[in-house]
Amino acid sequence: MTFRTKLLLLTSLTVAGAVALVTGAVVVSTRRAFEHIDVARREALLDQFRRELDARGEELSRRVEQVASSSAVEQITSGVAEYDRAQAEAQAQSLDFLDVVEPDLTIISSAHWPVRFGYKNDWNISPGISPQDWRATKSFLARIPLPEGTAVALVCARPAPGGKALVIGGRKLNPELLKSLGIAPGMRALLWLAPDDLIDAQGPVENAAKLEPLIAQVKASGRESTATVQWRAQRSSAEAFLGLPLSERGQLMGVLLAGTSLREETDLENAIVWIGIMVGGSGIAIGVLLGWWTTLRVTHPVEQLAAGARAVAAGDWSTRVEVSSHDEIGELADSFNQMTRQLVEQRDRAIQAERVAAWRELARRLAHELKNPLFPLQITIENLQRARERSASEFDEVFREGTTTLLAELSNLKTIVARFSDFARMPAPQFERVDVNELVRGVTKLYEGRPPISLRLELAEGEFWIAADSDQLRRALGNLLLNAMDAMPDGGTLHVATESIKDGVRISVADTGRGLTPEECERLFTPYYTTKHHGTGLGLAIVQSVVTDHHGKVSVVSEPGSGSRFMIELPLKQGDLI
Amino acid sequence: MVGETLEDGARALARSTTIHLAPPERPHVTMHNLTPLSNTEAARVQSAFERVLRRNGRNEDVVEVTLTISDNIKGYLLVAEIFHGNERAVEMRSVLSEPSIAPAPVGITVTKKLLWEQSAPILDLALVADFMFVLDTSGVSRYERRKDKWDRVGVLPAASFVRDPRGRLNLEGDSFTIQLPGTTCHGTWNPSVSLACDNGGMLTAARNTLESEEPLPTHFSIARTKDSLLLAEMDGRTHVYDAVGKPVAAFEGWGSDFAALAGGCAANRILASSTSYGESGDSLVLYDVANNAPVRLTDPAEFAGPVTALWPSRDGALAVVRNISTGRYEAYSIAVDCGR
Amino acid sequence: MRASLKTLDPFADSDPQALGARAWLLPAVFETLVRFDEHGDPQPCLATSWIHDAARKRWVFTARENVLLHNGTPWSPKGGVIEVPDDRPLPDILRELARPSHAIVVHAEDGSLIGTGPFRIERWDGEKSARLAAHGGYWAGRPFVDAIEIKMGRALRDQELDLESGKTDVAEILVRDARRLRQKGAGISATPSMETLALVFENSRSPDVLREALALSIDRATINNVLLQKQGEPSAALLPRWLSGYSFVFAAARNVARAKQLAATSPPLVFAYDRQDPILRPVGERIAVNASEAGIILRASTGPADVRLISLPITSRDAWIALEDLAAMLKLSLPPATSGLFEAESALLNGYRVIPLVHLPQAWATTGAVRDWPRLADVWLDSLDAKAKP
Repeated sequence: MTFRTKLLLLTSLTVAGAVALVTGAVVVSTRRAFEHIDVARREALLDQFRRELDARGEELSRRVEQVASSSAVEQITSGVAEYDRAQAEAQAQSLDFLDVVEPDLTIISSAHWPVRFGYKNDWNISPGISPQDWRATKSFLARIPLPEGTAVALVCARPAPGGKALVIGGRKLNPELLKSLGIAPGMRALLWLAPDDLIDAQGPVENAAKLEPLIAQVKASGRESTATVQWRAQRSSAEAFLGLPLSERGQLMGVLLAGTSLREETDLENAIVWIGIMVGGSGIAIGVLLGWWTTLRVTHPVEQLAAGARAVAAGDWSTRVEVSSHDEIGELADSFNQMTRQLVEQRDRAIQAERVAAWRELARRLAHELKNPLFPLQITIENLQRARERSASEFDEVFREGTTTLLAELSNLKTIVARFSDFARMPAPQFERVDVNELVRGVTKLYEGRPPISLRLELAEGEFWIAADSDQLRRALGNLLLNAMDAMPDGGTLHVATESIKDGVRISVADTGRGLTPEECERLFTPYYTTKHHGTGLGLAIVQSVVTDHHGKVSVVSEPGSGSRFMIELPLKQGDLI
Repeated sequence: MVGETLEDGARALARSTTIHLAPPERPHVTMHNLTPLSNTEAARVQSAFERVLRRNGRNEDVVEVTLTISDNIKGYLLVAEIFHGNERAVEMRSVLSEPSIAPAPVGITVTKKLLWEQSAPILDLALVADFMFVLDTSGVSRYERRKDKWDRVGVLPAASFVRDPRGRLNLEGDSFTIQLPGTTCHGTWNPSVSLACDNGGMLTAARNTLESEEPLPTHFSIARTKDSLLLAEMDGRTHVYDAVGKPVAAFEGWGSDFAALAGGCAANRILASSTSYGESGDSLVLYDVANNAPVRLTDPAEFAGPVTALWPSRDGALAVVRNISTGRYEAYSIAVDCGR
Repeated sequence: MRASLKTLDPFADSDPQALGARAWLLPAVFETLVRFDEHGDPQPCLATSWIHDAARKRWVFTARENVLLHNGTPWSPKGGVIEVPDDRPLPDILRELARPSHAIVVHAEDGSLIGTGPFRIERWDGEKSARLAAHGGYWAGRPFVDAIEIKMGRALRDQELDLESGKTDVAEILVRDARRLRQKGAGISATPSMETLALVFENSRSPDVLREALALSIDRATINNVLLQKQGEPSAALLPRWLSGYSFVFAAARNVARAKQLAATSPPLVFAYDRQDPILRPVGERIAVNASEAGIILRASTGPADVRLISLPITSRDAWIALEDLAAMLKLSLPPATSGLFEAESALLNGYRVIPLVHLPQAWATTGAVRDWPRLADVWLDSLDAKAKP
């Protein structure tokens, strides 16, 4: 992750976090505030409902009293009137329900269900109460049975004069009751009436299945309950309800539902959240801008520096970083540039030194190589000089021996010169498709069967085609084999293997000789470094050169006493050639 | 049944009710009266019912029987319900009122006038000036009217020992003819009374049927109209024959006493009594027989008992009625008032 | 009148509602050979007398003389007699001949119907109104009134208003309103029970025990005493007592406990009745209340129903004809006449397919001038009180 990204993330998170925290806090406070208001409003509504109910109850008892003291009731109780006489009285007093009953609650005349005369009134009235007590009773809620079901009504009972009858009248709980309540905007009152009617101020409420769980809860528990009902997918359609049971003598008559729309609250919360989002968004945008500016000022130079460092690592030590700022970054860039400059200088010096060293080494090696054949030359010529001075016959033999030795050593010299010449003149490789296994087999054939050294060949399966110069590869491999055999003067096992590696092939040549120390390993591939008592020391340098030309790698693993293992790793491809 | 009394009906009902009672069962009768019948009359009906129903027996198992006196448009209906546990059997008996016929045309009425009453059965009666001859089961008695009172001035014994006795008395000047079952007697009353009887005559011997010269089916009454002959025959119906004696029709509704009348608007018309069995009041109605069927012409003239004799007379007919309440025989002169 | 009659043709089918009205109107226009008097006995009408042979297989009816049809032509059957020969004995031929379907009706070429009765059909607007004009040549004498105008399909309330406003001389009324209307000065005429309120099961889906339970649950006495103000005769019989004499034999007592037992776990019944009818409605409602006390649920319906409360008319003063007509209305088969009237009625009531409730009289209110209503042939207007007719 780049610094820019990290910075951006950090900034964004910080801004977002802060804004979210603030928004959340505001929302919670808002909600609490609304809740408080709701509670207060509901209390007011309930109070109003109770007062309204009481007022209606008073009105009802006045009307029932009027009916009770009317001549119609007298006619009814004396049997003079027709069975449905109560209807006219109910109509006159605007009563929805009216029963004139005997003291034992047997109906004499019923207004709303005229044919029920002779049956007992079952509005949960207690029989046997004295007229004085009835006169004092207040209105109460009751469930009135009707031909087509039941209805909940506010009911009042008053005795007729003489105590011969009881007049029980009632008015249905209807939307008018709810209409008369002054309800705050955003609130509404519904009334659920047993067994299954739901009304509001406008009339019956349809599609209120979502209120059923709350109503059921109130019914089951007999106590207040609250619930929030979401009418539609939008949160703003939610309504918070308080359900209040309306019971009479242990029987539930209905449930008053006070509902508060959560729209305002939801809208406000939404607004707050949106503001929060916008603020946060702006903050993040600003952060982005800031970040961009920062990266411009900071990360770009740093990237430049990083790029420069990579270039240096890749070998381009002359890399310079152009940074114009005068701050710490600028200082850093300057330091970097200075470093590369010094590196280049050092490298040049090192190269120079290495060249000098290499020349020195070459000269030493040359001197060493030449010295060997030159010494016998000198001796031979000295012998010849001495022999000449001695006898002619000794001279002939010595001459013969001597010239032979001279020729041999001259040949040696020529070989050395040829080697050096070869090394100097090693041509660029000609890449072609080469089967490594085949090549290895070919090379090892030349060297097999030379006891006491046994050859073990472990070639990877199949054909291994690589792009390579087969001659140079043969030569390099040959050199490795020779070196390995040279390392085992007393015999051993020569192990040659090929194996596949990623995008390449590894050829390993291992011996069971005396092994090499770490310092020796280090210097091994320097031209003229040899641990052998003979040889030009160019062998491994040639191997190194060939491998380098093949864009490969050569390495050695060795430990004193355990033998050595040389590994050549070559890529499969050379440019476009496989 | 038409004409039977309620008590008769109750007895008949009781008889059919006994079928539902096993011998050891004793009925306990409860009565309901749904009609305007008075309590006394209803009690009479109940006792008539119970009397027949009462059984001799061990009287152990009591069976509830409800007797209901009901009525419908046709008359009374007596209903007995016999309860055995949850099972109930029902017997009914109709006591029909007389089938009335369409009201007669306004005008003609049958009038009756009581002439004489006595305890012995009157068979016939004839009036001549101030004298009255009464033929009864003991003979002919002659009465003279003195000071608005009839005094018996003579009697001619002429016994008749027949169940349901009938007799006919014809007066012609000073002589008379008496017809008794199987006997015809001729006699004079003025200046002296004499009587000579022979076998034969219009009344069948030892019977209450009539004889005739031509061979006719046995009959109780005979009447001839312009073109038909009517006979009250043994089956209780009135049979109609045409002029040549071929039977053409038969109808019900008349009793066994009827008489063809002569004169005025009654000519070719027949006075007939209603059928009666037993002890309710009869009535007489004047009929026209048109196309061999009776057509009622007058409202009924009611009597307090059954008509035991009905003979055509000079100016109408003579009807003898046994008064049920007094048990005495009343002789009426029947006349047809032809109206306006 | 409430009923609507499409036609007065005695041979046309009619639904039960109109049968009563038709039975009453028909004799005013079409006469039979024999008719029933107030005792239900056959009396001469167009036949003055009749005779039969001994086996009662051949009846000969003497046609009344001087009978004119409504179109003025004399009615004179050939030979002055009508012979009715038949292979089987016809003891009940008099009853049969008194049926409206045996009325003497002549179909005129224009499709109108001609009879011999005291009135002729001057106009008949099917189901709406009709005008019967006096038949001047009626054999028993021209009726006193010139014509009788009939408005059909008129609700009771409307009839009362028509009476009050003078639009009509006669209005059908509920018997319980008689007292009130009499106080207002109307004349009241009533006939003995001519209709029977009954519950009729319209299909055989409901089990016998449920029907019996419903019958046992109904409180007829209270329905009659309170709803009908004692004007009817509570009864479980089809024929009223004035006609059969034995209506009380059919048990009409209430037994709620037994009804509950029989009705246990029974399904609800669909119950229908005319809600506009001022009698059927309260009676129907009361029946529902009675039934619910026994655990029987009656669900109200205005369409097809399991059980329906209807009014069955008594169409004749002859009990057998009335019973036969009731059986036909109820689509039940009647045992043969030989079995007896009581047995026949018992067979109809067996199984509780029909549950009679109460017999109701028919009543009319008339303006003060009308006399001798409802004997149409004898109706007349007292000139002292008669109003000028338009």
